[in-house]
Amino acid sequence: MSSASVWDRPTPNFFGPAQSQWSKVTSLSTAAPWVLNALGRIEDLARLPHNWDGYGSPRIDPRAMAAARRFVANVAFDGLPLPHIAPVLGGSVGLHWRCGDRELEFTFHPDGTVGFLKILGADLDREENLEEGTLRRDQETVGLKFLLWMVGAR
Amino acid sequence: MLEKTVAAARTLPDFENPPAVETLMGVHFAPIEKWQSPYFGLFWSRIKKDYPRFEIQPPVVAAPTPAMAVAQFQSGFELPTRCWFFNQDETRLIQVQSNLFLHNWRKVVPANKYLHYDELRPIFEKEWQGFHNFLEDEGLGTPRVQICEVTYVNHIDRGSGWDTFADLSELFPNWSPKTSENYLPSPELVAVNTSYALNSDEGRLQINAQPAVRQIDAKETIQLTVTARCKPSSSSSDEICRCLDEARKWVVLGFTDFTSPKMHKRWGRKL
Repeated sequence: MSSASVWDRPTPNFFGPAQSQWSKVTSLSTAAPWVLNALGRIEDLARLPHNWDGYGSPRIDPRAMAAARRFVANVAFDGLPLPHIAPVLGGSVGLHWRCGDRELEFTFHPDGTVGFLKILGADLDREENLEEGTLRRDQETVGLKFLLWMVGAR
Repeated sequence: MLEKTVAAARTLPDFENPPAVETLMGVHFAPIEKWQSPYFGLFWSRIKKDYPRFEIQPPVVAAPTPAMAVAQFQSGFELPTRCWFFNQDETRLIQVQSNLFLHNWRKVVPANKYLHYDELRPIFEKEWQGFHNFLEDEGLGTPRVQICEVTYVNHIDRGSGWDTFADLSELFPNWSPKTSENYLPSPELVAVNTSYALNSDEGRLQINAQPAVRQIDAKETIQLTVTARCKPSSSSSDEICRCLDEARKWVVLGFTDFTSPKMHKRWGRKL
C-alpha cells in the first residue's frame, strides 16, 4: 500500500452559504488547495504509456480517471489532506488517504465500480481492523461517509 | 403555432445553443410570521401531483452576517428550513422557505430543449398564484414582496472557447491577462465578480465568473452566473411580472454585453 502524509484530524466545513442554484459545481477558486492539486494529478495519469509498470499494464482508462475526478469534486471538503494518487493495474486509478491511525483507499475501475479498503490501527493481522468491498451505487455519498469516519467527525 | 408566435415576439438577443444550464426566477418577501414547518407538507399536498419528490435544504440567507441570520431565524422561533419540490422528470424545481419562492429550470442532459423565459414565466406565474392562494386559504396572510430575481447559470466548458485562464479575454472582452511588467506567469485561476446598478437604482445586476468542476461529470468549466434583482413597487402580480421582465432584460443584455462576439458566434446568435 502506498504512503500518504499523516496529519492531525481536520474539521470538515460544509457550512458555506446556501445557494438557490440547483446544478452542483465545486468552485475551484474557493475549494481547498488539495482539490485542484488532486484533479491535476489524476489528469496527469493520462500521460502514462502502455506498459507503464513494465508488466504490460494498459494505459489508464479515461473512464477510471473521470470517475476519480468526479469523486474528488464531490467530496471536496476543507481540511482533507492531498491523497496519494497512483495508477493501478488494469487501467484503474487509486486514491489513498491516511489520517492518524485510520486509512482509506479507493480504487476506481473502468467498469464504473469503486473498490474500497478501510483500515483502523496499525495491527493489520486483526481482521476487525480491516474492511473492504465494492461500491456500485451512491459512490460519492458513501465515500464522503467513509472520509468523515477517517477524519473522526461525528 | 404558439411556438412560432412566441419566437416572433422575441426582441432580445437570442442564441441557437446558449451555454445556459439553469435559469431561475422568483420572489423574496418579508418573512411570513405564522409560517411553521408543517406548512411545507400542507403546500406539498397541493402540488404533489406535478412535483412528486421533495428535499429539505438549508435556507438561503439574505442577512449580511451569519450572526444576523441566526438572530433573524431565532426571532421567529422557526427552524431554518427550505424545501425543494421536484417535477416528474426533475427538470424543474420549486423552492419554498418562509421568505422566498423560486422556480428553477435546468438542463439535465445536453439533448434537453432549452426552455426560454417566455415559456417559463407563465409556469412561474401559475405556481406563484397557487402558493399565494395557499397562504390566503391557510390564513397566513398576503406576502409582501421585496425583491424579484432572475438568474441564468451558464457553463462554458474548457475546450469550448478557452483552454487556459489566459484565454479568458476571448470570452470576456473586459478581462485581460496583460500585466504591467510581465513578471507574473499565466494565471492559474481567474474569478470575476462585477455588480451594476439598474436603471433608477431599481436593483442590481451581478455577474460572477468562476472556475469550477461540474460534479456530475467532473468537467472543468467557467460558471458564469448572471443575476438581476429588482425592487417591485407593489406585490401585485402585474408588478411582479413587470419586475421579472425587467430583470430578465438586464440578464440577457448584460450577458451579451459581457461576453465576446466570437463566443456569440459559437453559440449561434440569432438576434
